[in-house]
Amino acid sequence: MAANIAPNTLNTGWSGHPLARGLAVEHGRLLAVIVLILVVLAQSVISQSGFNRVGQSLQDFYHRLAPRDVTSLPVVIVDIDEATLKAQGQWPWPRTRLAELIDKVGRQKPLAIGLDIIMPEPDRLSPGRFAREQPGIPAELGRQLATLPSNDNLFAQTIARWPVALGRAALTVKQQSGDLAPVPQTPVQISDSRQLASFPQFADHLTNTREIEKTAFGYGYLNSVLDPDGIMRRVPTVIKVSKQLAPTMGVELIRIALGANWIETMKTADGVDGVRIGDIVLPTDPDGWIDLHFSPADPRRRVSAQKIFQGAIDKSLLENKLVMIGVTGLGVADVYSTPVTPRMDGVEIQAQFIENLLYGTRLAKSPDSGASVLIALLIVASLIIVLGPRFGPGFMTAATVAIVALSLVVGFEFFRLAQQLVDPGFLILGVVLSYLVMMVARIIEDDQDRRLMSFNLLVEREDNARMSGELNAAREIQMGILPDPENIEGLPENLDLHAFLEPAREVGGDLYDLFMLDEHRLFFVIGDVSGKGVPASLFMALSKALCKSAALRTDASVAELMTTANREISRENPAFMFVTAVAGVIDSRTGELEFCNAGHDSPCVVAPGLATKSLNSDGGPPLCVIDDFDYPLDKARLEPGETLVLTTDGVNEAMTASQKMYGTDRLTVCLTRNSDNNAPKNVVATLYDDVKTFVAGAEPNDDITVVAIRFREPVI
Amino acid sequence: MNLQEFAEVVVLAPMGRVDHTSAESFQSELLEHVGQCAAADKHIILDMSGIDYMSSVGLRALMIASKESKKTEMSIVVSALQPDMKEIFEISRFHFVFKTFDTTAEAIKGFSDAAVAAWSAGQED
Repeated sequence: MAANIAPNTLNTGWSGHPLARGLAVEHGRLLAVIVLILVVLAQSVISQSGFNRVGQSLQDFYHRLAPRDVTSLPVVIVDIDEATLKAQGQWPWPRTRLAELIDKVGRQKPLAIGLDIIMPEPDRLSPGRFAREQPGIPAELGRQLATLPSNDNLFAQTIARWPVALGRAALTVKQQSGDLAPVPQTPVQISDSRQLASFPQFADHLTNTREIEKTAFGYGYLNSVLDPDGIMRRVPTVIKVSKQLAPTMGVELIRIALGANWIETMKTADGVDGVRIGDIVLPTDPDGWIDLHFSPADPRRRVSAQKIFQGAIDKSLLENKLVMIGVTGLGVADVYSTPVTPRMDGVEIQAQFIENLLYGTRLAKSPDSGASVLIALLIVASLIIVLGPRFGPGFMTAATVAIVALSLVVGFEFFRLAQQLVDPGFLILGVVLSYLVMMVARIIEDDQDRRLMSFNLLVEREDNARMSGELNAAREIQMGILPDPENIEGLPENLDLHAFLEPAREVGGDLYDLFMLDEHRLFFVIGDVSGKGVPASLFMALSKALCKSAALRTDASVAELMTTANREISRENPAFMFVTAVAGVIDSRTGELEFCNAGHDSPCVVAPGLATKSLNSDGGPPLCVIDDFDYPLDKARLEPGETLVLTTDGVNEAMTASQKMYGTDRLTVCLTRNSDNNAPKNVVATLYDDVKTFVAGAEPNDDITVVAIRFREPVI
Repeated sequence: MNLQEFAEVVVLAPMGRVDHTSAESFQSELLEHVGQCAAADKHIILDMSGIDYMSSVGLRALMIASKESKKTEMSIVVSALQPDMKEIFEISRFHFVFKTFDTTAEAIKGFSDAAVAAWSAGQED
């Protein structure tokens, strides 16, 4: 009867794949360490090669959060904006008009004036040139016009009066073959020849017409060098044009302002890299560049050129300032992305470069920060790898989130407070990757555990099924041999009876039997086999059969019958089971009762309105305990209307969940309380209900059996 | 199960409840002692003062111990039954299986003078 279930094999699933098992080795520690080593290698490779896009994005983020505070404005941008072009005419202007502007600016005594404008060709609007190129001008007028000075000449005269630096553009592709035409250049000395390689190299340049360049104070290159991601972050102080070093515009303006004749890139005695202009040294990165700490474009830096033309500005607005003149009214030509804003015009960047250079507010890269970050990474990642599996995924997640947050904050504080570029990107990358590896390992392990657990559960369920199959078999044997109490053959009319057996889940050893020995005498037996399962049931069946055959075979007393049965059953008892039992005979004519108790609970007699009494007797030990025991016979007499009640210990030893026992006293009280209606069915039902109420739902651990037999006035 | 020896007598004192959850270990431990005592020509007093309750599986273990002992010269007696245990013994008529004594002191008197002397010496400590 045992359930026939095919043997199961453990389904290891995806997490049992060799790759997954490999990943989960040592809770994922092995792979996490490998990943960590790769991250460290990647960091050293990328920091050698320079540009680290991810780290840079994080720095840009910090940059937007903490842009530079503008405390003083050394640079004023004179902006040839749309309003100016509307009033003064379209660009390009005749150089005379630009000269007029420069003159008006110059009168306010700025320290230097830089032009963010390049004038490579002679002005086509010069009178002589205009006359040559314009058909239909009378020859005489043409001759007269040709005698007038050219616009370029007038412009050159103007800038000779003021400290003007002309703008130039360096070009990567050479425009003409051969050596570059010699042009005036601000002298640049270099004290550390290693820096030579770090200055950007250009093949050619776009200069202003020779006539203009002759009279200028200085020449500044306006080039913007973008990072590989197209964002403007760094500006060189010096560039190389062909074989010549030259200053960029901001440096040149400062030189003019300070009245210095040359500039020098150098390393100071105390190890600061910088550019020396006159008596001062402005610090730079070791390669002579500076990382700009941008502020958002500040309108206070700007004044519209039209206001200068109109004389509508404060007289001291430009005094002792560095002035940049630029054109923004034309649209998009000279606009760049910066970390703080996606659109910043070139002249604004020039101004901010000067501010950074003058005030030393540039962003500094600490040369040791890379190594420090790696050391921090190794420490925190080791913590996660070592402690993570011990403290579980919650700890790992919290620790990782905390480390990432802390790294971001520390990076930001370095940026905000010290303008130091410390990139926590690799730390975050390493920690997050270690975390992910460990979590995946954890998921793999959990999945394996879960599969193993559900496999074990399956096995257990099968065992249970087998066992309950066996128990079902036991129960079928047990219940199958019980007589139907409603259908006892030849039961006299003045005897009525009821019997009830509720098998427990595991233990199945109770039995009862009821049959007529002859037309007057009812034989009854109730018993309890100490044991469980099929063996107990079979033993019970055997005991019952032996009792019955002994009872029917002989005319012996119940005691003799018990003694015989004991001897016979003991012989068939290899499992050392025993049976407690009460057997007896009721004579329906007289109510006389002969019984024998073999280690069983005493029978009770319930009479309406009277206290329940127990039929105590000497009796003997349970069957099979002592092989050759001589059981004594006991006699009693039922009065008409009395009911004999037999129970097994499933009743008086019924337990609540907290192991409180129902007990014999409660049994007696219950029978007495309901004695007025002592009809067998009622006696059984009320007792059973009382037990069930008492145990309050606790699973019974023994069979419950109640047999009740009522004797009534015999009918003659 | 606590064990004390007084000359040829071993006093075994099991503790707690013996029901379907604990009967198996009770039985194996008891039978181990019975086997050892039988081999050593000792007798056993089962001091039941520590047993609150015993279900039929516990009685079965006692019965098996009794049957084992009857194969040899040894005897097993029971002493100091608590009221509930006394009732259980009465209902199942196990006094037919084991001689029972109200106290272990009385039980020991049924054995040799040496055992009584050893017992008395133990009590005086």
